[in-house]
Amino acid sequence: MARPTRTAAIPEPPEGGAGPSPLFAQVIAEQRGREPFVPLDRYIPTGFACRLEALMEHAYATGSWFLFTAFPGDGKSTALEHFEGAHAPSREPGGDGSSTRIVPVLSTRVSSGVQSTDRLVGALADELGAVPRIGPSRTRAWLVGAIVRAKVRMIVIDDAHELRLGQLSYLRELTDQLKRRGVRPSVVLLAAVNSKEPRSCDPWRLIVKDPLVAEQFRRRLNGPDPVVRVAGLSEAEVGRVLRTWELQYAPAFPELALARWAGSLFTWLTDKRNDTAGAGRARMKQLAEVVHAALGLAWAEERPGNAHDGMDLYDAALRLTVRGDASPVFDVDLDELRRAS
Amino acid sequence: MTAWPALQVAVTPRRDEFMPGLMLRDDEKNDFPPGGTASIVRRHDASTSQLGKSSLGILGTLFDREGLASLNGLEPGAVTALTWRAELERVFGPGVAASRLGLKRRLSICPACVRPPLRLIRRQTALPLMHGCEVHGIWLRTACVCGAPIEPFGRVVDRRDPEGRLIAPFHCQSCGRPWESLPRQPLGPRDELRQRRVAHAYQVVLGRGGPDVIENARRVLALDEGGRWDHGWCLSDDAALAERAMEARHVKSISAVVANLVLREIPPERVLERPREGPHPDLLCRNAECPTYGTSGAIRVSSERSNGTESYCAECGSRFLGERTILSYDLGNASGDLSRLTVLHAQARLADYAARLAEAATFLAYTDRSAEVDHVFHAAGVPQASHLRARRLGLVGLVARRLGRPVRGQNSSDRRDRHPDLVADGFADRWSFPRFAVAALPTEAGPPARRDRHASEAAERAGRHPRPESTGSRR
Repeated sequence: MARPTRTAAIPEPPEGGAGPSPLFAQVIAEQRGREPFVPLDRYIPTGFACRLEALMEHAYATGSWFLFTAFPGDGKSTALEHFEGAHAPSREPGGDGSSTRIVPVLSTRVSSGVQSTDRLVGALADELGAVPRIGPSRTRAWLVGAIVRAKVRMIVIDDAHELRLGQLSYLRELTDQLKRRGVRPSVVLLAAVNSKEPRSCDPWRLIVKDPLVAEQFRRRLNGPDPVVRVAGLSEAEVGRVLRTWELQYAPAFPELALARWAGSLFTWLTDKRNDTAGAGRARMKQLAEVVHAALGLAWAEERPGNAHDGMDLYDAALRLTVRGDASPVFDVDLDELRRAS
Repeated sequence: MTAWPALQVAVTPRRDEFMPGLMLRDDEKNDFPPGGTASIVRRHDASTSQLGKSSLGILGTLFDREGLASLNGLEPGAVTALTWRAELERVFGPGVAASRLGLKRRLSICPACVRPPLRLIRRQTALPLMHGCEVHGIWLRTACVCGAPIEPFGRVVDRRDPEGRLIAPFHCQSCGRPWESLPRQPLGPRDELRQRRVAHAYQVVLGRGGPDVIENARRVLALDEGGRWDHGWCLSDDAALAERAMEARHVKSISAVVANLVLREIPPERVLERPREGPHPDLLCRNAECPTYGTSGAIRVSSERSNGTESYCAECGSRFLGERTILSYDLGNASGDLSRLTVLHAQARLADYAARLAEAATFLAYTDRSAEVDHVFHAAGVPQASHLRARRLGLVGLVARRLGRPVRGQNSSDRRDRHPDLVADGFADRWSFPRFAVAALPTEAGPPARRDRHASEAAERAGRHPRPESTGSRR
């Protein structure tokens, strides 16, 4: 296989797949007694995360409604988690020995398990504290009072592309009831899209499908720019992320030199087979997978100084690209392996 | 334990607060219906009907106590301190049932204690026999004015009053009336005094009692029991106290201990005293003629009295109350507490006992070969008092020899009757002999001979009661 160059696009996978599988290499090394390589789980303020958090800070400050969209794997949930950490819940002591939980940012995630409005109500209520087993109507009434008590300033719905129309209507009803009690929280819907056009995402399509609903929402959404797409990582931002990883992994990988591969990685990750939407930006999730696969391979093979190779990064990027097209077969005689070791 | 997320509004337990009260305050602060918090921490095997029981907070078994603590951000053991679990487990051991505290049919509340913002249900109100609030001096309420019992949690969570409004915590589950608006009836002086005594007794028994407190209470109550039953101590104007009056051996629960202590006006601290093993070191035999004079070797404790410990000497039979000699059978006892006449009367009484015992033993030796010394004392009508069995008095030895039993501390070859003249010739007039043994009863000790059958039948036909052949007057 030819050595990759900085600007070369990912070639077609060779017959029989790419190089050695990092997964198999790590499993075999673990069977031989080597400790597994576990990637660090630390927040990195990437360019994408900073942009998204800046937008959410704006919404938090102004109390307006937004629909923020991004590609899957850009790091929306991670950025939201960090944003919540910056506005963490606290306890406000009362005069009679009680303490009230103050939740500035009330966030929940809509998934396949939260398809009904009642489930959304329950999910929001759970974020405020333990809730008794009372009926749905009583829970809705309780939630309004609880949001007022918790002094919520912002409601964030993650994975909002799975919202249903009934749930959207409930959000509107909830904010109306809060408004009557003098509370006007901002609402941010975080949705994933698969094209460069943010208005193609599900919540917006649900809104505009019904003219009456669209009209009701339009009054609440931020006037000129209600739907915003947050761009992924540029080449320079990829370089900064790689440099951060170099520092973080320095104790275990003393000879790590990732930043020099920023251009190549950006090129490989924005290949048309990875970047199907043609955004021209790298995604944090894919970048982490490639780098961690290469580090895992270097760790498993116990190279001097755990130094990785540019070829490892290329192989990992290639594996990521052809993922799903070619499935490696794990066929190793572990008994023989253990006897040999 | 289930790790629950904290409640939105967490409350801190107050001093002496009862666990259901804490849950109701949680409900009120968090805008839950009554029982909302209970429904979160209720164990899966607890039914809703059990939530209405008055004993639900005694041990807190129905609820995840550590879960309730985590709901309020408390230490794991903080909620257990709001129940009576620790105290009951100290007395009865782990796995104790709430009934060991005693039965209280309904939850009681003090209308003054539950007023906002205090909202306090005291732990003491859960105790049986507690009918008044110690702080406010008013009767506790067990029912609303509408007649419905006071229940902390409704069996239906979203309950509404007759006007359709949701019933809030600290309100009647039937009519929705606030508990603080219930009538406040002051305790009378006697009731207040009795409540103080009950509270003090609980404080001592539950707060300081150990695993032996029930046994100690039975012992203390039993010592007091002899005279009390005769003098009607169980008559009380407090029905709850009166219905718990019982004999010491039936006492099993804490409330029964407390009720009997209060009824008999016994200081509750007495149940904390351990029973004394062996004679008190200050108790000595004070009979100068006794071989154990000045020592405690033969001293035995017989009972506890209000003015001292009563003891006796197992050697000479003298009785002492504290350091005072109250009875002796020896004129040279050297005690200034006893007159000569008293000793002479005691000696005469002893002689009478000896004669009656000798007769009864002689009789039972012929008729009942399995008779024991106790039977003879009973048949002779002699008190079975411990001091009468003292060695030097010789009553037990006399009976044992007549029965042919070995005598403790005596050579087995020396079975000679030292008092052959104690039994008069005609003693059998006072005893009822079986018919077949009439003719053959010998004058000396020995088995009676079998009578001729024909002679016996002839005597029955004549209608005469069988008598021994030799008769005479009693000495």
